[in-house]
Amino acid sequence: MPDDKELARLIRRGDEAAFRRLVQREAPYLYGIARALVGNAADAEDLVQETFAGAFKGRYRGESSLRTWLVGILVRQAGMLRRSPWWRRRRPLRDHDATADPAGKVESTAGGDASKGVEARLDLATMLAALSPEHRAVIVLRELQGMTYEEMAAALGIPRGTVESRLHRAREELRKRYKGYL
Amino acid sequence: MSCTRTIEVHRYHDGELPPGQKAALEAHVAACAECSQLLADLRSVSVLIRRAPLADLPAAAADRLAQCRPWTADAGLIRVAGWLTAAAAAVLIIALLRKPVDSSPMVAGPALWETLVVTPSADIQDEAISEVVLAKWMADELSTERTGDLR
Repeated sequence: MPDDKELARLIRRGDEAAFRRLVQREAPYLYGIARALVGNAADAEDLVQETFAGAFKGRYRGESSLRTWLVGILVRQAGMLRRSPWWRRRRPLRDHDATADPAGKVESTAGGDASKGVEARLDLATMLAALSPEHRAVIVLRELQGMTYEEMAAALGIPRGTVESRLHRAREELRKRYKGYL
Repeated sequence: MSCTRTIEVHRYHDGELPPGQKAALEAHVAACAECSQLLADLRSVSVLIRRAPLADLPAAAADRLAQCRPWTADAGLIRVAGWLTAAAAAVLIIALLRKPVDSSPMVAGPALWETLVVTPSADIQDEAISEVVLAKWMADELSTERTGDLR
């Protein structure tokens, strides 16, 4: 099993088997993140496909895991998608397959009050649906990829101060909205 | 939020607070109920997000993603670029091979371009000639006057 750098090198050389291995390994995770970022299945699938295409064109330097690097590409692609006039026109029709109502999407392994105790779990897409797209992006990069403020600023192409303020507002929103789960 | 140190609490939670400021903030959090609650909530929010299940990749979408070939979009372009590079190299080699060998000695006269560069233009030539003519006329005049004086 090649390591991340070797896998990226093989893919750049056009090794189909290596590419299939990457898709098999990372597509489920990337799709889950994409759904949390854009909300609907069709856009999420497009985003993952664009991410793999971007990974082929870009150069992985091994500074982070291949997965973190791919998520960085995915988040940037989501930003580009959001700014495209096509997406803005279609947004009312495509935005969020899932509703933003957390009560409807709680995954509970034990009966009773879903909002109490560790048994109740919200899925990520539902949790982040309450946030703006910009706030979803910083939450994903910080909480799931463990990026520093500087890394997030570089990945999103925004100043570090903006990263911090977005992160604080996003957390405040989550804190208020999911107080019953904390 | 009334405490002015909440930003530091976020940075502390993210491991972004400079090491020199950590101890002071920890002492503050221990004494400030608001910051203490904030830090506990930030930790809980992080856990909630990290434990949140991701949406499942539908089987049909997985099949479609497995079929995508990102290099096919660029393959044509890369092939054409390769051909153009090979053609340019071939033209350069042929041009070098066909260049006539100059057998004339190194001490041959100036090349045409050298002559053209150092030769003054027609205007300048006319000007230089007219100055010579004027000088000659003045010299002639002076010599005539002197001759006249002698007479």
